[in-house]
Amino acid sequence: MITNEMLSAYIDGELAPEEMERVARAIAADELLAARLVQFRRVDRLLTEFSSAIDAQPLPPAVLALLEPPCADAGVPARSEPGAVVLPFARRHRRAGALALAASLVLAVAIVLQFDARDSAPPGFEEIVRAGAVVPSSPLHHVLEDLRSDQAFAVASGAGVEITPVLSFVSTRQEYCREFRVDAGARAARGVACRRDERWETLKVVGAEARGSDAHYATATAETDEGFDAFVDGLLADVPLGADAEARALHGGWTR
Amino acid sequence: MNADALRRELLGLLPRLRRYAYALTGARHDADDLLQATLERLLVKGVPEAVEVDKWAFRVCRNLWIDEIRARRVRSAVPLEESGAMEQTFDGENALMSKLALAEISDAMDELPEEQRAALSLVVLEGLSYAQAAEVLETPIGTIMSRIARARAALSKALRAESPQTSAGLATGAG
Repeated sequence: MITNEMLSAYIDGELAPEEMERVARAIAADELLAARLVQFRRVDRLLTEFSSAIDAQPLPPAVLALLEPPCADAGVPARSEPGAVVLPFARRHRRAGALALAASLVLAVAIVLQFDARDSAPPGFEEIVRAGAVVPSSPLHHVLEDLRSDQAFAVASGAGVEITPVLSFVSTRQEYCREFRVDAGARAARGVACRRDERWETLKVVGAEARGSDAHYATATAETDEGFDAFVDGLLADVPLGADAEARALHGGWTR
Repeated sequence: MNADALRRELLGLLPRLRRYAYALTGARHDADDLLQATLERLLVKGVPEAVEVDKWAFRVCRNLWIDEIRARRVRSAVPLEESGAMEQTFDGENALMSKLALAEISDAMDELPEEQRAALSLVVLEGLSYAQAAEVLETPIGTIMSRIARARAALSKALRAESPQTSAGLATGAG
């Protein structure tokens, strides 16, 4: 007599080898038992089919938001929001298009690109964080021009300098602007550059010694960060661009 | 495990955890609520060292659902069609049969005791071994084996019998 328990464990491969063989022989010799096996397997198939149906349904934004990295789990409040609080740098991110961004994060592992320095040695930290016009052949220009936010760019030659766009937005002067950070081991800086007259211009940079050896940006003094945040918030015409809007701007060469 | 690493693990686990939540709750919105509550709990409380994240996540998910059941006393009775689960495309007669069968399995799952539903889902949907399911549900392996068998028998019985022979067979094998 093969019980339901044995037959069920047989389907799951959970019986000892000799028991598996015994059940298999019994199934071959007993039509009723074989029919019961078919029915059990049908249950499994239907249950799998039923449960997989939820895969076709979009995940709720709240669920995706929970799994965003910490640097992307909060937004820069819209200027029109009363009582809006500007979050610390490490938590700043675009609120607009949060869903699209969240979805893209599934695939958005940190892509580190190597700078092809064919013509000259890549600039060091000081050179990158200098305010003023951004030289078109420079790594910072490449980052601002070509990379999505959160896409890190490692400047080659062992300089250990990494540049990452943080967010993109339209300024009150109706220019595209981008906030970025520069990490260089123990040093780090934040900057904001705007697209003017078909070139990028770094408007403001704050630099600081990073705390510890953590690869994540460690904030400068609170005062410095607050000042920088206030400056960027003053530039913002609206909420920062979402992932889709940023991609459109990027592919359009940042022209308005 | 730090928070970033846990987030990455949970992201990879998301589809499985969601299916499990769906099998437990039987309704999409309940499943997503349960999924969200599970993720929140895991992110706030973390996962103990030396514990596999997926098994711990299933355990947390199931425990939260039990709390919910205790609070509500009933499993959601949202019809499958309304839950959006039936939006898959089928054709012709097969489509109708599939719809009916899926509706039947959903109804039958509603009738199962929660512990049978949880055990069956872990093994059939998530591919856990009996030992792993026993670990998640904090139950002896023998109990898992028995719950799964009873669940399969009950669901088989509830589904429309394909032939009189099958029904007779199920009755014979009740164990």
